[in-house]
This record gives sequence, structure tokens and C-alpha cells, in this order.
Amino acid sequence: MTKISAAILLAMFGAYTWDELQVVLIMQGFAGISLFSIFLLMALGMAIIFGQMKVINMAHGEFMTLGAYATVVCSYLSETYAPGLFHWYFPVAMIVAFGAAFVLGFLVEISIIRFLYKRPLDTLLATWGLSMIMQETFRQVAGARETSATMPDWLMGSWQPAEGLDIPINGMFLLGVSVLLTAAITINMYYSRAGLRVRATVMNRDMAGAVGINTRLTDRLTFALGCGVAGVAGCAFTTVGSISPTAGSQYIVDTFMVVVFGGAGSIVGTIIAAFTIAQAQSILEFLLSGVLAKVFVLLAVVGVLMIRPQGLIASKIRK
Amino acid sequence: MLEVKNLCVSYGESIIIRDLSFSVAKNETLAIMGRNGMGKTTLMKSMIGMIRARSGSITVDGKDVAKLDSFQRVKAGLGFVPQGRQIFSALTVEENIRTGLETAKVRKIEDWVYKTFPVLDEMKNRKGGNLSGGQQQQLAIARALVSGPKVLLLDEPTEGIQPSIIKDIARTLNELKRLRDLTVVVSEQVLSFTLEIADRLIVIESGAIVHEDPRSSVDEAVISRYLSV
Amino acid sequence: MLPIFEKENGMLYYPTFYEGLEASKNVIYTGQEATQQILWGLDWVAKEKGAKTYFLVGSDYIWPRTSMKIARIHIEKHLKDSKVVGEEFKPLGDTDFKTLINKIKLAKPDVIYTAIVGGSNVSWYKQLKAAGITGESLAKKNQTMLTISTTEDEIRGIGGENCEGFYACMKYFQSLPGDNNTKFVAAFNEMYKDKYKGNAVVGDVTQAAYLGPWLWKATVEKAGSFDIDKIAEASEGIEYKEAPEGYVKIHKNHHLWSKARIGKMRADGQFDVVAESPELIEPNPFPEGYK
Repeated sequence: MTKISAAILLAMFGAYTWDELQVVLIMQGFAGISLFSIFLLMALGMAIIFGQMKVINMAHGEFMTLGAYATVVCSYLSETYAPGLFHWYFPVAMIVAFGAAFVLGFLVEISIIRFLYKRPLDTLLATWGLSMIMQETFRQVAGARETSATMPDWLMGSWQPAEGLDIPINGMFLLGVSVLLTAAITINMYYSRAGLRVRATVMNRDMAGAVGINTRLTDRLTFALGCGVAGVAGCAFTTVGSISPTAGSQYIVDTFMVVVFGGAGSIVGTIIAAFTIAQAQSILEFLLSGVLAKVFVLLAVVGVLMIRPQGLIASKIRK
Repeated sequence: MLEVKNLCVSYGESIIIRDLSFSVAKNETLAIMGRNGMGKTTLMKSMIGMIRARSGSITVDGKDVAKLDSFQRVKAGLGFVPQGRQIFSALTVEENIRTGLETAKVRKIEDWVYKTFPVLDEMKNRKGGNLSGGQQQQLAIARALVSGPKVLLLDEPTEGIQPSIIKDIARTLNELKRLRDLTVVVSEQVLSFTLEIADRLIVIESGAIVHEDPRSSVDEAVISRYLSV
Repeated sequence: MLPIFEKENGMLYYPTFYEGLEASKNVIYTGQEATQQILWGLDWVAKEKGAKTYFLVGSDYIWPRTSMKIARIHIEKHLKDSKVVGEEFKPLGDTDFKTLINKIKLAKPDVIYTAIVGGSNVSWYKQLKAAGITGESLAKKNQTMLTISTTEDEIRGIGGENCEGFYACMKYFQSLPGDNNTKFVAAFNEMYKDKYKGNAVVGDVTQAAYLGPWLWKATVEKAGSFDIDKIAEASEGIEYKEAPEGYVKIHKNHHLWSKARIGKMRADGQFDVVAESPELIEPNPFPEGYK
């Protein structure tokens, strides 16, 4: 098998030495994994919210932007007032980003979402409106310019296990964050009281209330949690991307694709979808081109959804 | 212990429960009987808050719960075993029981639960959906009881259960009433089962009470007539 | 937008990078059209760095697409023994460049020639750095990264530490010497002191926008009228000697005669100007042989 694939690769990249190819292929493998972690981070928050209450949060991207701006503020404050701690501001920023997005999500649930639970189309519109309000607010407060959070040294550059082999540190960082976050959410979902409340409510809302679960509070906290996770994603993305009022809206399409493809709300499905799409995307991009890769991936996703509208992993939940 | 006064419940325009009033004394077991479609389940659901009453009051141990959410009613002392059990099918047996602990004083499954329902102990890690009807019924009762209710509401507990097991359920319920100091409201169509557990019977028809008997003087013939189609 | 200006007979002073292939009575193009920005810059890198192989990268819309087309033609037809070893476009706003960077590493071009815009810019530079491609690492291998889309404005968002040692071909840099520019930058800082606290950056496009009102003023004075038709007619030959970028003149085709310059990015977000075209370059929005 290895021999055959090596032969194919040689035919394609005959002009390169085996060492060179090896190095690039390792880096390319990592590129796919790191795209996977980006997709996963983007989609987690939305999947949590959609799975819990069938609300599609169109303002998801803006909650990521909020997390990103929170990171910028932290980096600025730390640079200005506590330069000694600058080296380690990033974990703090991550918590701040989560907190800011969580609190805002909580307030949004109270003031908008809870009135619309029985009207899914209206939640779509309402959260879309919310996304525009948030974008304009960012523009007013932070300005329209692209900004960046200043990165501590340990988050920049690359790790070089061998000559010519550069594994980006921010990529490894993203991978770490997405793995830890997914694990934390899964553990919380399956081994904590809060998670039990969420699962019971998703399965049978009325009955969950009738055994004594405060389903409204559960909804509210789940929505806020989903937003908070988006905030963490936004914070993590400052290591690779830019921050501008509209930065989040650029993620919403991919996010949506991953969540729907994965089977709307199941965490396992989201992981599988993020992995599949990311690998397809990065392999196709390597062999063809960025734009073509995107076209083929979208077509493939549409095709799969036509055959399997429920997504990869259908939730076995009634209601 | 439980007092329902002038309760009216409707789905949109159609009124299901009309100006219904009854009360249940502490440690009493009241059976609500009636044919299908006469409003038994609606009455039970409106007592636990799955359906909002249009008017009237529901008082549990002196507290009016008619305007509260379900979970607050559970806190106030109601426990609910719904028609068809409504087990959380993808949760394990143990997790199902733990959902009932939300409002409990002690947030762990106490020993008496598995002692009363040994079969649940054996099946602890199975998914709720994989249990038989009778096992699910025990699970539903355990789930309702762990919150420490003063009043237990059971909606048609014998529906879809094998006759041989119905007797077991009756025996368990009687034992639990004594053990857990319970007041019980049960809706039923099976008279034999009712007679084993109830202290008093009322019959409803089209959402109103049409007949009432203490168990000591039940006229089985009259009630059977109400229950037959 | 153009049809509206033409229909309503308005006047637009248009300052951004654009693809050329356009000229209108109702527009004065104060930025560089594609050939002004591209051809001399490519000649420079071929001569100074001895570059032979090029990898073209752009955001996927008309300006980079056209620019890269012109660049490819120039490289293949006019630069000796030179060839394009890769050409890639990424969707606007895309933030994942790792795969593309791997392809570039594999292709080992002498020049990475880029026109990436907007939010993608930040990701592009950060990921280049993370993949070990820096000004320093390129210089070691005699490779050059040359961009036509990154100005001081973008670098503020990207962070100078991610860009150090890369090159840009523009007509204006904030660090240009000369009184005109020093005064302009000082005045700009004074005007926006509340907003930028004296740290304002002025990029190529900002300067081009600044030219607009002055050119208009001079034209109105020459025409002796605010009438659009007269302004359009009088525009040819209008000069602005004190422009921050230096002397400019409006061409018959409503574009500016201007110089092209190469700047090398510094960690503080400014450029060292390392080369400058000796003469003003004639604007040529419909370049023969480049279409």
C-alpha cells in the first residue's frame, strides 16, 4: 500500500527528493488536522445550542468576534499595565472571552430567544438581526479596521523537529484547545448533573420538568454555554486570523455546514463532520486549488445531505 | 394535603375539564376513574403543570401551585408518574433515577430505592428504553419518588402492563404508601387494581365528577357501567 | 458604481488599487492602475534578486485575478528565462493558508508574489511566520516575498513582527523622505490626534485619497467652473507638485503619472524604501499585450 501510494506521489512530484516530499506531506497532514480543529472549535457552540433547543444561532460568528475582541482587550491591558504577566495573558484571555460571551448569551436568551422557542424561523431572523446589531456595535466601539491581539512569544513561530519541517505552534495550540474543549464539554454532558439536566430536557422537555428539572434555566444556561464556547473559539482564532467587526460572519457558513453535515446537534457527529470536511478540503486544495477544493467540498456536502438529510449522525431523540 | 378547586382546562376552544373540585386528605389514596377521552390524563397533566389550567387553584400542603412551572410543583411536593411511563429512553436506569433528584434534599440515590425495586439495581447501567413495560413502570415510580414527594400522581399505571405484574405493582404501591408516608392520586380504568389500592373513588365524565364512593361502599356495578363503552 | 456616476454625470476621485481596463470621463483614478504597480516591481525583483521562478497568490476577485494575469504575461514574455511555478487564489476572507503554504514550500519559488486583501491578510502573514517563512528565512535562500496589497494600514492589523523583511511595491510609503511627506504625515497626526494619539499610519491608499480634493481644486481653478463636463475636460495635465508622494500629473486617460517604489517591511510596521523608479511611469489602463 505504502509502496503504491509512494509510486503515485513520485509520479506527481517526481522532481522532488523523497525527503522533501516526506517533510511536506507531514506538514500537509498537520494542515488537515489543524483545519479540523478550527472547524471543530467553530461548530461546537452552535451544535450545543442547536442540539438542545433547535435554535440556529445566526449570531454565532459574532459571539466568536466578541471573544476575539475580549482577547485584544486583555492583550492590551496586560501589555500596558502588567507587562511582567504578558507571557501568560492568553489563558486568562480565554476565560475572559468565555465569560463575556457567556454573559451576553445569557442576556440574549432572556431578552429575545425565550419568546421564540416555538417559532424556529423567527429565531433565525431574530439572531440574524442580532448579528447585525453586534457587528455595528463592534464597528462603533472598536472601529472598522482589522486588528490583532499581540501574541506572546511562545505562541508564535514553529517547532522544527527536523530540517525543513515546520510544525506551526499556533496550529498545535488550536488543536490542543479544541481537544480539551471537546473533552470538557463531553465530560460535562455525560458525567455531570448539569449535563444530565440537558440530556433529559432534550429527550423529553415536558417530562424533564415533571421530574423537577428547571428546563427554562437549563435552556438558558445551555444557550449561554454555546455562546461562551463560541467566545473561546474566537479567542483561539486570534492566533491564526484577524479581528474585525465582520470577522465572525466569515466563519458562519463553514460552521453551519459542519453542524448540519454532522447531524444537527450531536457532538460525535460534529466531530466526524469537522474531520471529514477538513481533510477533504485540505487534500483537495493540495492537489487542485483552494477555490476548486471549496467548490467540490460544498458539492459533496450537498450531495450527502440530499441522500441523508438528517446528517451523518442522526439524533435518536424524539421531539 | 391536595385540594383542587374550580379547575378549568382547555385546549384552545374546547374545554376538557369543567369547574372540577376535589380534595385528598393526608395518606389517602384517591382513584380517578373514567373512560378514555373523559379528561383523566388532562387532569393529571394540569396538576403537574404540563398543561396550564385556565382557571382554578391546585393547593399542595397549603401552597397554591396552579401558576407555577412543573419543576416548582415538584419542589412543592408533587411527584408524577405519567401515562406510558415516559422514561428517558437514551439515559441509563441510574441516570433516569438521578433526574428525579433535582429537587431532593439528599442528592444521592438512597438505599431504599434499590431495596424496593431490586430489578432496577440489576439493570442500573442499561438504557431505560431497553426495559420491559413493568420494569419501566417501576423506574418511573422510583424516579418520581426520589424527589421525596408528599403527593404522588399516577396516570394509568396499569396501561399496557401484563395482568400478572399489575398485582405486584399494587402490592409495591401499598408498601410505599406506608413506607414513604404518601398521599396518592391515581387515574385508572381497571377496577380490580383500583380496589386494591384506593381509599376513595371518583368517576369523571366529560371533565366533570359524576360519581363518588368510599371504598367501603363501592357499588362495583355502577362504576363498571361508567367504565364500559 | 461607474454607470451611476456616468448617468448622473458626477465626478469620482477613486483612490484604491484596481485592475485597470477602465477609463471614464467621470472618474479620476488617483491610485496606481495595474501595470504601474506590477511591471516595474517585477523588473526590479528580476534584476536585483536575480529571480527566475514566481509563485502568484491572490484573493479570489477581479483585482488580484487581473493583476496576476498581467504579472504572468510579463514574467513569461518579458523577463528572461523566467516562469510561473504556481498560481493560487483563495476565497475572500479565507483564514486557512497552511495547505497553500505547503505548496509554496514544495515549489520553492524565487519570488512569492501576492495580492491578498482584507481579513485574509492577517491569517496569511501569521501562518507564514508559523510555518517558518519569514523575511530572514527567505533571504537565506535568496527568496523574496513581494506584495502589491499590504500597506502600513494592513500591517497595523497584522503586526509588524509577522511581516519583517518582506517587500511591497507601492507608489507611496509613510516613510518616504522629503518635506512634502513629512509635513503631510505630521498634519495627519495632528488632525487625528484624539483617535491615534500621534501614532496614525498612512498607507498608499490613504495618500491616494488625499490627492483627490487637491487635484479637484486645481482643476476647478483651471476650468474656472464647478461644471462637471468642464472639470472632466480640464483634468488632463493637472499637476500637483506638493503631493506627499512627490510630483504627480493627470494623464489624458484620467490616471496619474506616478513613480513606483519598493519598500521593505520593518518590525515597527513601517517600510524602508529600497528602490524607486527613476521616472514617472505612464498610466496604461488598457495595456497592449497584457489582456
